[in-house]
Amino acid sequence: MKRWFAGTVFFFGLFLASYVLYAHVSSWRMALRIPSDWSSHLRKATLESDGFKIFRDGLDAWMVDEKFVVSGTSPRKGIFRLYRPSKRFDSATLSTRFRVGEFAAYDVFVGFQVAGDATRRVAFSFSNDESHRRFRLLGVGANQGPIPESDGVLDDLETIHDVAQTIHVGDWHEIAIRFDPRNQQFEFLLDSIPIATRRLGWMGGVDVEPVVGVEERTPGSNPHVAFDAISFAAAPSGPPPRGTRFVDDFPGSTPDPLRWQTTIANDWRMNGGLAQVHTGGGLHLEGSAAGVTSIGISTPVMLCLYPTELDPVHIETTWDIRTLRYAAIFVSISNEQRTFEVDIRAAGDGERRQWFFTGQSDGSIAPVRTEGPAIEAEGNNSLKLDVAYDPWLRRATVRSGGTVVHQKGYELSRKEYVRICVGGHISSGGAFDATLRLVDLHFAPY
Amino acid sequence: MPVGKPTRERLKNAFLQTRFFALLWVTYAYFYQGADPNQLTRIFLTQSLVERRSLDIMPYHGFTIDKAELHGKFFCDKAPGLSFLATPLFAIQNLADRLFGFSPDDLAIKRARLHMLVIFLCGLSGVAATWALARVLRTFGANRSEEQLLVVGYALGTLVFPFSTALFAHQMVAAFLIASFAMIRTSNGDHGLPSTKLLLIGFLWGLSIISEYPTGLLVASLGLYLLSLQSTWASRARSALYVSVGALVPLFIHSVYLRAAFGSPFALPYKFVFEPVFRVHHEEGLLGINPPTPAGIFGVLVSRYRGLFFFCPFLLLSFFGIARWIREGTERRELVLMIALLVTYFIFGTSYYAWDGGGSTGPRHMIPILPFLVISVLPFLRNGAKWRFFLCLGLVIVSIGLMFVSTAVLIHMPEGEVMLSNPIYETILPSFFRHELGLNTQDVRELGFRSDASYTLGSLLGLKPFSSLFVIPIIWAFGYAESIIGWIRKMAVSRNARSRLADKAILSGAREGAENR
Repeated sequence: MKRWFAGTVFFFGLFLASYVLYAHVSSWRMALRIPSDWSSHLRKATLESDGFKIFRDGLDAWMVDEKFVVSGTSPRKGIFRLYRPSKRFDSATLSTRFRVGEFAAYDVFVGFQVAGDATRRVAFSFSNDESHRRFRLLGVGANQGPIPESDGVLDDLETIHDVAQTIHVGDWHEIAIRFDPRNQQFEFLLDSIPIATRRLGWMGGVDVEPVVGVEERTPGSNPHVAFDAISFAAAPSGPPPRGTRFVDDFPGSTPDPLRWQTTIANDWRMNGGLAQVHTGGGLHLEGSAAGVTSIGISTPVMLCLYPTELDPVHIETTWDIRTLRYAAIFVSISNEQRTFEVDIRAAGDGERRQWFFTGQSDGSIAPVRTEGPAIEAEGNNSLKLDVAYDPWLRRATVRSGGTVVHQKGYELSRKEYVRICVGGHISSGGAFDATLRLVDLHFAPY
Repeated sequence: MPVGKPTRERLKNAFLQTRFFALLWVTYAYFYQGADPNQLTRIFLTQSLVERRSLDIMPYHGFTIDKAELHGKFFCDKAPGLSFLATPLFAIQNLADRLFGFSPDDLAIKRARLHMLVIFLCGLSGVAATWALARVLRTFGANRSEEQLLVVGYALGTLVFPFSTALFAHQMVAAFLIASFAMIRTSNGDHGLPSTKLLLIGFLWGLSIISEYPTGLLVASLGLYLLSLQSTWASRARSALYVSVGALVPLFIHSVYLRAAFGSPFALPYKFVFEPVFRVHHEEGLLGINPPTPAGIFGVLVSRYRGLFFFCPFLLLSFFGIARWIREGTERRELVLMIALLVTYFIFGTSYYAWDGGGSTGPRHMIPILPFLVISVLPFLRNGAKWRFFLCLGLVIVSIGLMFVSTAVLIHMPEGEVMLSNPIYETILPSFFRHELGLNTQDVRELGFRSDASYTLGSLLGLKPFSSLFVIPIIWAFGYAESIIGWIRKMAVSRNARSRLADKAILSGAREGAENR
C-alpha cells in the first residue's frame, strides 16, 4: 500500500514538474517568435542597426537626396531585397512608400518570405512598365508543399489592372500587404485603400521574414526606385464584443481591419469589370459586370466580421442603394456548412427590387431559396433592414421599416462559429452601387 | 552521503532494465501532433469536469465537430474513459497555472497542456503495453533476441508509435488489455490468481470498455480464457466475482455519467452524434456497425490507403506464426484465444462504417489487438532457422521506417478513396523528403489553420524540424553507448583475432611450402 501511495505521489510530482518546465520553455520560445511593430525611414547607415539584412545581385542601394534609392544595371535579372529577421507569421500589415523614377520592366514588391527560403514567398508587386503597368501577386500559393514550376507570378490581379495606371513617374505611393491567418486571406492596399484580396494556402505560425525589394523582369532595365519608409504592424484581430452593442458608421478611410475582413473580387475575373469598396460617411460598395457575358453569379465585394459563436443576434443596417441591376446587396450569417442570407435583389434592368432569402431549412443540406415580396424603398432608395436570428429557436425574422417581410426556420444552431457578412452579388451585365450608412449589431448571449 | 558500491550496482541494474522503456517514452514524448476534433472533444469533457463540474462541453464545442447533442446541450461523443483518467492531471495543470501565473488561454500553454496529457496518458500507455508484451513473450518461451526484436517491432514499427503521440484511447486500452493478459500469464496457474490481481484485471477491463466500447469483444474473449484456466467451478466463480467487482467501479461511474448526460445508463454517446454526416451513418446498423464490407476488409488489411499490413509489414508474419502454432499444437488454449481476439476484432474493424478511422495512420481501430498480433509472430521465429529472424528483422526495420516518418510528418493522414489513395507515397514521403514535418495544422482551441500547430520538442527548442529528428537516434545511441562501444570493441577484437588467424594460416602455409620444397 505504501509503495502504491509513494508511486502515485511520484507520478503526479513528475507530471507537475514536467508540465511547469514545458510551459516555461514553450512560452519562452513562443515569446521569441511573436512579432512586434516596427517602422523605418531607411537610412543606409542605420540599416544594420535597424535589424535589416540585404540580398543584392546586380542592383544596389544608395542614399540620394536623403532617400533610399535602389538602382543599378546587370547582365542578369538584377535583384535587391531588404528583409528583417524571421518572426512568426500572423495577423499583420507590411507596407512601404515608394516612387518609381521611370517606366521600365521591373517589379517593386512588398511581402513575406519563409525564413531561410526566399523562393517560398508571397509578395504584392507593382510591375512597372511603360505600356503594361500592373499589380501582380508574386510567389507561391502556400507556405508548404511542392513548389510548382512557374515564372514566379501567382496571380496577375486582372481586376485591378486599371488601378495600376494611376501610378505615375515621380509620384509617391504606398503599397501594403495584409494577412489574416484565420481566413488565410491576403489583402492588398494601395495608398491605404484595399484594392484586392486573395485567399491562399499560407497559414499563420510559420517563421517568415518581411521583405521589400526590386527585381528586374528583363536584364538591363536599369531600375531607379526610391523608398521612403517601411513599416510593419502586427494586428491581432478578434471577434466583435458579444453582449454589447456594436455600431459602425465607417468613418475612416478604410474599414476597420480589427473588425472587418474585406474580400474584393475573389475568383471574379473579367475585363471591364469593377469591384470597389471604400469608406467615409458609410461603406461604399460598387460592382459592375457591364458588357461581360461570361460570368455566373459572383461576389465582387464582401465584408465579414471575424468568426464568432452564434448567439441570438440583431443586425440592423441602413442602406442607400443607387444602382441595382442584375445584382443583389446582401446580409448573411454563415459558415462552411450552413448559411442564412437576406438579399435585396433586382432580377433585371429597371425591374422592381425584391426580397430574396437563402439558407438550409427544414433539415435540408442544400440551401433553399425563397422569394419575398417586392421592396418599397423609402425615398432616395434608402431602406432599413433588420435581420434577427435566434439560434435557439432556429428562426430568422427580417424586418424592413418595422414591417416583417420574412419569418422562417433555418438550420444555423446556437454556438456554431459563424461569420456575419455584408456585400454585393452580381451576374452577367449587372451592376450595383450602394452605401451602407450604418451597422448596428448586438448579440444577446444566453 | 557517498553512494556505496551495492547502491551503484543497483542503480546501474535499474538503469539497464529500464533504459529501453525510458528511451521509448522519450521517443513518444518527442512528437507533438497538435489537435484534432477527436482529441479536442475528449479534452473538453475533462475541462468541463474539472472547471465547471459539468458534463456538457458547451463553452468549447465550437472547436470540434465530434460532439453529441441532447436537449440543446453538446457533449463529448466518445467513450469517456480517457477523459475521466485525464481529470486529475488536468486539475494539476490548473493548479500549476494558478501557482506559476500561466494563462490557460495562451497558445503556448494550451499546447503544453495537451502535450503533457498525451505524454502521461498515451505515451506512457505505449511504454506500459510494450513492457507487458515483453513479459508475455517470455512466458511463451521467446529467447532474448526474439523478445527484443518483437518488442521493438511492436513499440516502434506498428501504429502504437503514432498513436502513443496523440490523445486517442486506442493505445491506452491496448495497454490495459495486454497488461491484464500478462498478469494472467505470469500468475501461478496451480493456485490461481490472487484476489488483488483479479480485482485489478477487472478494473482494467472495465476501464478498457468505457474508453473504447468495442473492446468489450476482446474483454469477453479474455474473460472466457481466464475462466478456462480454472480447474473447478468454485475457482471459476471466485475469479468471475472478483473480476466483476473490479470492473464494476469504472462501469458504475460510466453509467452515472450516461444517466446524467444522456438520460439513461445505457444510452451511449454515439447515439447522439450531432454532425449530420456522422449521424446518418450512426443511425444505420448498430451505431454504424454493419456486416463487413469488401472495401472495409480490403481497406483494413492490405490497402495502400489504410492497410495494416501495408503500414506495418512485419505483422504479416503473424499468419505464418499462427500456421506454425496450429501445426505444433502447443498451448492450444492461448492459440484459440489469439484467433478469437484477432477474428472478432477484425470483424468489428471491417464492419464499422468509419473503418478507416477518418484522418488516421492505418486502421487505428485495430490498435487494441496489435500486442496479440505480435505474440502471434513469435511461433514463426521460435526455434527456427536464422533466415526467419533476419526476414523479421528486415520487415521490422521497414515498419519502423514507415511509422517514424508518419509520426514525424502527419498521423492524421488524409481521407480518400480506398482503391486509389496512397497517403504514405503521395503525402508523407514527399513531404518528408522536402523536409516538411508536422503537417497537422489544427491547433488547440484556435480557429483556422496554423503551420506551427504540431512540432517536435527539438524544433520547440529552436532546431529546424528536419534536423530535430536526428535527436532521436542520438538519444538512443547515447542510452546504449555502453553496448555500442562493447559491440565495436568485440568487432575489433574479432577482426584482430581473424587477422591473427589469417597470419597464422599464411605462416603455416609458408612453412609447409618450405618443408615440401
